[in-house]
Amino acid sequence: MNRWQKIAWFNLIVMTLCFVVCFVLAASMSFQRVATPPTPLFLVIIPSLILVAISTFIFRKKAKRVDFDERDMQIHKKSQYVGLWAFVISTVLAITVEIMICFFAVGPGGTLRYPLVLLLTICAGGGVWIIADSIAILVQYNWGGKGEKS
Amino acid sequence: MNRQQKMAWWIVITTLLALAVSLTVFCVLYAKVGFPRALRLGFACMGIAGLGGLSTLIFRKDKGKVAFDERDRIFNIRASWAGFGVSYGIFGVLSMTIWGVVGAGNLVDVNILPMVWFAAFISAFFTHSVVILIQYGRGSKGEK
Repeated sequence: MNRWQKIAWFNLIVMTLCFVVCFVLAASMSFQRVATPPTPLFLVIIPSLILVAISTFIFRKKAKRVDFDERDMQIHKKSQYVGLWAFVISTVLAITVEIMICFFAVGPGGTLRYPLVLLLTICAGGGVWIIADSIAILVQYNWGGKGEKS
Repeated sequence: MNRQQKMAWWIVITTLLALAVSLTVFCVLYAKVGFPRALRLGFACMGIAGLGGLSTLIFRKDKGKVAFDERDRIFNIRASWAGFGVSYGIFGVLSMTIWGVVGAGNLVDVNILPMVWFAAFISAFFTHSVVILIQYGRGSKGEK
């Protein structure tokens, strides 16, 4: 398994865990009828995104080794597209629907507390991107090592 | 100048025109009707930017001509990334700013939400066009 596969596995596990924890938190908050801003969810998503951002430092490149050839570059490019499209479709759609719900619920002249769920959706969109990107990388490498070395 | 450049210029011009009209309307109406109404009416003028969407109809593809080669594709991809990044950033910054200025407990006008959405939407296309023009060197270099 090469370095990029390890990073993809790491990112996939971190973001999947993050979404599971967020789902459990959101479900428990709705059961308890907590009407506070979704701060606990931010406290889960943002550290997870930071952890993903530093994954390239966690899995460091070994000295004097070429760890990125032409094939890896193609795989990386394709997976970035998949991630971007997953992000665009899911997040833009989610934000549009959320704004429409707010607008129609309150009415054209109404007022409301700024829906923090919009900011939460942006952060979650980053997570969707990372998951889609990681899955695309792993699918192209066939989920495991075939002799690639880091 | 090729088709992509012409389309990019059209979008840049219509968006800047919309922005100019919007700012003028806002400044003129601000003293008369106050901030929220002037903002709404001013922002409504950003609808002029929608004329940019006609670019594909105005600058039609010539029959039997290759209008899009590998270099154009790379420019387009880079511009799309830039447009996406800027709109994502603008949406995030505007959301954070409104939330920060108004405060978590206070109320905001619901009309702000579609405005934020449209600002991000328009900025994506505007940035895309500007980046395309920058990559082509802002003008014609023999592209047809």
